[in-house]
Amino acid sequence: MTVTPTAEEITCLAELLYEAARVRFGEERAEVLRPTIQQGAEYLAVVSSFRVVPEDEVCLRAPLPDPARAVSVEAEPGTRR
Amino acid sequence: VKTPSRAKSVLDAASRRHVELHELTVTEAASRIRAREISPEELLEALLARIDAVEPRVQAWAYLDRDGARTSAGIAAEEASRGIFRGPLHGVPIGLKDIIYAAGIPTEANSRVLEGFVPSYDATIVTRLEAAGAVILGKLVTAEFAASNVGPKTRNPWNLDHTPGGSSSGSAAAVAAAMVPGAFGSQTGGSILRPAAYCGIVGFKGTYGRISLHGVIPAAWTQDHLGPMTRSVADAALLFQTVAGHDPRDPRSATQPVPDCVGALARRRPPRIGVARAYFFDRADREVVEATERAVGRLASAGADVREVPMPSTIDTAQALIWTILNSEAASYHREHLATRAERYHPSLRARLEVGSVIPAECYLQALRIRLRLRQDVEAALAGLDAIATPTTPTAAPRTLDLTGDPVFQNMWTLAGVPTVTLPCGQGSSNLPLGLQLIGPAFGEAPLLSTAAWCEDVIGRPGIARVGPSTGP
Repeated sequence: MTVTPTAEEITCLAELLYEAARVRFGEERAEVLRPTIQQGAEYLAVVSSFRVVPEDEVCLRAPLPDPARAVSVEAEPGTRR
Repeated sequence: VKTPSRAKSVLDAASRRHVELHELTVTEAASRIRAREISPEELLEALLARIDAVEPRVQAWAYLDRDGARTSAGIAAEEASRGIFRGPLHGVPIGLKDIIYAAGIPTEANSRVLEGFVPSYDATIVTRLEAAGAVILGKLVTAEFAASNVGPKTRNPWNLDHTPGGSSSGSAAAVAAAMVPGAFGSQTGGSILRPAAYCGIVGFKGTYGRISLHGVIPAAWTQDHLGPMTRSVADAALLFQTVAGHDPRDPRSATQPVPDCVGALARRRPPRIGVARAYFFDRADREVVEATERAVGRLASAGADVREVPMPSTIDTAQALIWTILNSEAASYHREHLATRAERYHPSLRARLEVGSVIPAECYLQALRIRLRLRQDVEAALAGLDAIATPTTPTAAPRTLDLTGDPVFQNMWTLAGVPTVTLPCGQGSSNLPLGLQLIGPAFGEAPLLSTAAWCEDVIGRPGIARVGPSTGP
């Protein structure tokens, strides 16, 4: 199990996020997002570098509802004043 | 002079009537209404007077429904006069975090994005509260969309220069300042327990899926929990019991039967408690560590079996998991608003949502896989224990109104979906309360609340916040 990502992994993810943000929101906005992108890349690198092997994925002993099955069906805007 | 027994009982009754009504807990208020010692209208007017006195300084309310509450209290009073009691909360005012829909009451989630929005239907939790006789007093301030760490307008009633925490800021502050006996908040990371601890009250969240989220604006729908915020464990048990249970309108809703949490409080016994000093004490400041050690020492002296428990290494990933899951899911929910009115969000939340919208699917799915592993590890850590005990927060409420504090001691348990409760365990510097967090196994709400009630008996309760003047920034 690895939870300490390398600087290279963080940089790679930051570039990936920046490029996606540039395409989606434009270069000017992507520049504004740089600090958030950098912070996000550090978190995503932790997630990416954590090894989950298939044999770890046994069922939970407690029958929690599986959140992966959940869909967003909450409040939709109703009436407005 | 010996007081005749009849006169004494009249004096006792008069004395009880002169107890400040706004200071009654949910359980006390419900009991006195049922005994017809007080009326729902008297109680409501006492709370409104308290709100008039302290709300200008605390600023806990997003929308106070004076007229609606007076109408509901009037109906409850009339029913009570005929011996009709709808349920265990008959005539008791309750506040709601401003992400919970109540038909006809503005729900703006502290965001200009939802300015002027009035839902046309009730959240399931509101339906259940009203069926139990509760009077909905209004909506309590939240951090923007319960997803931002930017501080809203609310102040900590114990010290107005400090944050009350968030995102259930108004719920915590209003209950601590005795403006309402009980309220509901929500937790996706640490948004019930952290503000509850900062404000010196009890905050509880059940297992993921226990309380319906139908009619609740999501922060991250695979992480969101609703839960009660009160001034006693008994109140938390009563409010949880009233609203928990399967709801076919919420596909996340758990189908397991809800245990008798109120009845379980009568079966208090010294618990087996695991303390994770190595992990949590290393990350907490000195006064928090000392207060936690004092509380744990008192529990051990009173008969609790206290032992050290190691934490699984997966909890080191909790911050990264929360960031990834919350921002991915929030970006999905806010997609339309972001496309049409992005400039109406606070800049920091907007930036997080925008970056959340470009998180690779592989990272999100990997986070969900690690979360499953974390859940297994937490269940294993709880084996043979009634609860794990930790400080609720690394510090007392920070001296700032710009941010809501650090949820680092809640994130791992919220990810695991297990029930958690905080109760006050002492007072730190600057007159600020500190909390003790207890964590139990999934669907073990009844034994966890029983353990919490036993701990509360040993540690005691701090009373209400007196709400002094601000000393300035």
